[in-house]
Amino acid sequence: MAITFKSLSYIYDEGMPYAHKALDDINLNISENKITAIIGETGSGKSTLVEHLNALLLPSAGSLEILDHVIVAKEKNKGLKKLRAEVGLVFQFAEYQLFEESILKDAAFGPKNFGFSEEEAIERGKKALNMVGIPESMYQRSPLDLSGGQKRRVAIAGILAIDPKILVLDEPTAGLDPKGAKEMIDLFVELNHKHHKTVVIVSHDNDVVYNYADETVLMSGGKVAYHGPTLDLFEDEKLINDNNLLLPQTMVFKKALIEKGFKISKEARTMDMIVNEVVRVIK
Amino acid sequence: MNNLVFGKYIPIDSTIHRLDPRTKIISLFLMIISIFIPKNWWVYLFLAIVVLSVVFLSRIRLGMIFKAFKPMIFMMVFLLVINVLSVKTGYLLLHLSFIDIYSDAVFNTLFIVVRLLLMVMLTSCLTATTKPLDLTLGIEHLLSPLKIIHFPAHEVAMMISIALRFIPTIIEETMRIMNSQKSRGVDFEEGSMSEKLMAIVSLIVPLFSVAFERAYELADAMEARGYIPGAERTRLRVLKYHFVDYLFIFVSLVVMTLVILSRIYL
Ligand SMILES: Nc1ncnc2c1ncn2[C@@H]1O[C@H](COP(=O)(O)OP(=O)(O)O)[C@@H](O)[C@H]1O
Ligand SMILES: [Mg+2]
Repeated sequence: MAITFKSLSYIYDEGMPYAHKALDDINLNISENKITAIIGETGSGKSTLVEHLNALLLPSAGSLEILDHVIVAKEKNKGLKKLRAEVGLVFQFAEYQLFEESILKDAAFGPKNFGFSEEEAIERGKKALNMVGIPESMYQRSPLDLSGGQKRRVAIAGILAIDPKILVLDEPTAGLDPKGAKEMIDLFVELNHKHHKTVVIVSHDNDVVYNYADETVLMSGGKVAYHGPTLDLFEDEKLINDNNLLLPQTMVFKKALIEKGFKISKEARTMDMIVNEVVRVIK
Repeated sequence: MNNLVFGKYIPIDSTIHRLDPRTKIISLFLMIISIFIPKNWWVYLFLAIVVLSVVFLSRIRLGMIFKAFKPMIFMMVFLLVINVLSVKTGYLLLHLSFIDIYSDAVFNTLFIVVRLLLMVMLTSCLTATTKPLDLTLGIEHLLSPLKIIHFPAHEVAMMISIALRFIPTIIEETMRIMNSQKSRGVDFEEGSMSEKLMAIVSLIVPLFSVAFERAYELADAMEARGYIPGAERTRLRVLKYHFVDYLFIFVSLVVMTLVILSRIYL
């Protein structure tokens, strides 16, 4: 297990009259080398949950195991910086973290903080920028002058450059155009398949979740309402109705095909896979 | 954000919460004058009782208000040192090898400290029981007589309310940017001088860029909805004095009068 939550609760503004319990007795195992999606309504605690993964928030009660780090509520927890080098967290609206005078310098900022030499940090920055599709001709431009989508890419590169074992993304595609969003998701899937990164992704797009996530965590009111294989979640009508989940378009399409008499395997979960199976039948 | 208690609105219900914002501003003004007049400990005891009653009526826990004092401790120690070094009147209180401490130095400091404490208690009472928007509405009303001499009361109030409205937003942005940079290995607590400087730059630059972005967005949004500075506007919420408001202002006036009389006759 890459990450284990044990009876973890988190309270914002603990001890104040307006204290708010955002996570309530969470028990959760997130598996290594898989893509895990976290879904749920706005305010259900998704961001609060993922901010625990690199110890930006420390639990109010319970404990948390990440790789070989243990974080216990109300104790002095050490080695947080080392943890942050192993768990890369890309924030919702990550573009607000950009500040260096050039894109390349900004991408190299993380590795430099984690103790890499200047040249090595620049090397890693270049590699990460290449991954997110920022061409070399742009390296010397100011990150503050880019379009929203480009800023987001540079910000994501800033985390990829750290080369973490676990990559956590909080709504990384919110506000991106469909093409840009698809490219980003493809990148995360590739990082998982080729580079064996554990990927945890918060998403509002149930199609992305359905297409790519091995497992899904459904949050509701600060509690885990479901955790298990993604495909099983979307087959469970009671869960879908209770939580007002939108069915993925891909799945609706697949069901319609099956109703028309096409035989499509359970594993076919992306448009490409479904189309391939249909084509094979027709031929 | 536990360290930002001072100046935060606390959404509960109490007698003080229900008062008209103008009443609270006027009373605060009168009380602050009263706090700076006396030179007698008995009068301060009286004022402390008055202030504590207000805090009690506001149903704000004393502990929360005391949290606002913490950042002031350094300033108070500083004041004490300055006073001890400069004031050489009164009788000799303590003779140390290198310095003499006189009674007036200690008492002067104590007076200042007590005044500050009472003032901070009252001011946090005002901000904790009044929504920022109500507060600016109150300020606008109180300033409106100045419109006769072309003082832009409404615009000033609008500026104050926008500033107040954006304090929590900016704090939130600050937290978020700090968290993003922490994720990139920035250490805001430890590190060498140059690392600290870099940490601050990594916070300030994005913060400014966000603040300007927000300002442009807000200006556009206001224009899109037809906001014209100086134009006559109607209000959703109209302020109205009730009996308690008159009672409150009356009591504040009485307190101030008593304090002034005490200064003359005691
Ligand atoms: N900094 C904060 N202070 C107080 N409450 C917060 C803070 N951040 C989030 N919350 C509250 O915690 C709950 C969960 O928020 P969050 O984890 O951001 O939800 P999500 O990411 O699922 O939209 C919400 O009710 C939200 O209002
Ligand atoms: Mg969120």
